[in-house]
Amino acid sequence: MTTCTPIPFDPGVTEEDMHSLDVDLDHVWLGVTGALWSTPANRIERIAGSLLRSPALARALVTTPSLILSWILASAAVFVLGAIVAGATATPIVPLLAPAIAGVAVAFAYGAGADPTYEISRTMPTSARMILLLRVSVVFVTNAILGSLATAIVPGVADVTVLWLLPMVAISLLGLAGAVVTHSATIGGSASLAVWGVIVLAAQFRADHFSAAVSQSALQALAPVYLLITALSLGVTLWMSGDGAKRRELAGWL
Amino acid sequence: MVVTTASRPGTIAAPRERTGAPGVLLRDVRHAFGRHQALDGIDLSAGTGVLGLLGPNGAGKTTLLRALATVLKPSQGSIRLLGRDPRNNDEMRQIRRRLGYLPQQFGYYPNFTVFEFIEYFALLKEMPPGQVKAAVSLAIQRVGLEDRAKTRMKSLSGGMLRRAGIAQAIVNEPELLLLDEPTVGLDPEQRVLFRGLLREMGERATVFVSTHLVEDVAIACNEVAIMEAGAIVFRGNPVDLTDLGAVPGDGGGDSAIERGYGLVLASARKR
Repeated sequence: MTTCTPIPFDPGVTEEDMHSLDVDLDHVWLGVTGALWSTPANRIERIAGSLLRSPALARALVTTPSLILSWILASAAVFVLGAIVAGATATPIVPLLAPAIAGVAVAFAYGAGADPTYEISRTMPTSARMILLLRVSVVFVTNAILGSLATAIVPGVADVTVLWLLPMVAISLLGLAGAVVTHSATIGGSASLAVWGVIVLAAQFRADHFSAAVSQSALQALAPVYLLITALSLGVTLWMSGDGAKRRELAGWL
Repeated sequence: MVVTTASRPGTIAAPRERTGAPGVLLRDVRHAFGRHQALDGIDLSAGTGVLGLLGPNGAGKTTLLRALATVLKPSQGSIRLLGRDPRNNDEMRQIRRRLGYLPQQFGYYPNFTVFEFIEYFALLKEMPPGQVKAAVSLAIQRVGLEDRAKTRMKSLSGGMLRRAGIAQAIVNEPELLLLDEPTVGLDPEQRVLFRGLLREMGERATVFVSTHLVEDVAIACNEVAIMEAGAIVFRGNPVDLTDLGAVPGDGGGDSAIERGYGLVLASARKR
């Protein structure tokens, strides 16, 4: 008769080994659903994220209302049309259009009435002022590039390219300040259009031609006014877009 | 300001004990819009738990929540949130990282999917990028929008939009959660689920819920505050309010807590 010696069961892994294999299935599941539901960032957002070193600012930038494709295409179309008319009539249409277009675009870059998520965004640790300045800078540069390209293709008016940038800066920042103060992109954009309209109409009365508003002599003569508008608008925007503490301190001093 | 803490001696069940430093500490907070005094000397301290804010339209509930959300700077008084001073920029940023806020009316980018909408705010709340996707997934599941995660916001119904709004508010596991009329547009089943979520959040966060639905307060809140004309005229737990309206006919409501609410308002208006 053969006797069997019981062989102790060897599970091969210890209890400690088992604990080390514990996997939080809930966490894994969230990772899986997150990967399934998310949409990869587009190339522009990825580049912006690398440059800004902030995925939050990159996402805030690509959601700028006045940087969506349809807005940019519309602006480009107006500039191209202006360039064609300018070529046909020898009138500097593009320098006349550029401040107005940029002013409206900048007013609609950020704030109540322009950004649908404005109310919630104001409770975020990512600085609202940083988002505003970032968006405004990119909107302005985009419009400046479009305007420069349109000006460059019109013979005879390319020499005023640099000069119309100054009214464009002033009118854009005026629109921005108006939007920030009134919490309305429409009012800000209208303010920039109105002021630029007054300047152009004044040129019409003075020199009997709209284009006098962007003549070299007029731009040089009005440079101090544009600089003053720029400085005041920038100051008001920075003051009003802060988190409040410095604003109250300044108000106390005043 | 009048604050009624105990209404009928012997009938008050103690509110659930709060722990740690108050999540919210207000001292004589006042704010006016022109001649309208929206906040009129609010003194308030609240810790972990769910506090329901009741009151008629224009009583100051939304203004109070906007002040707590650091959107509105009161013209007078002091506010400390999560033990920090929002007047200090660094502390304000720390508060905002720990804050969840659902405004009464919130906007959205119509072409964003539900996931992208919530992810956007998770990023703005400066959550570690590696945790964002899992946190967004969890928030979506908690509000029951799994089957709509990839749906564009413009295609959602009103109730679903509200749930997406709640999800963005809780995505960062906030220590201070402020919800302004969160149950508007939710169907009865979703309201029940939402109350469960509210109680769960109240286990570890200071939660303020502004609502017109008294039954939500009765079921989901540990405490209730009633506002009238910019002031808090009642503070207690839902049982206090129910006891006030125990006698049918008083206050004019269908349920005891509604009658209690009506009586408190009538009493405050007489004063």
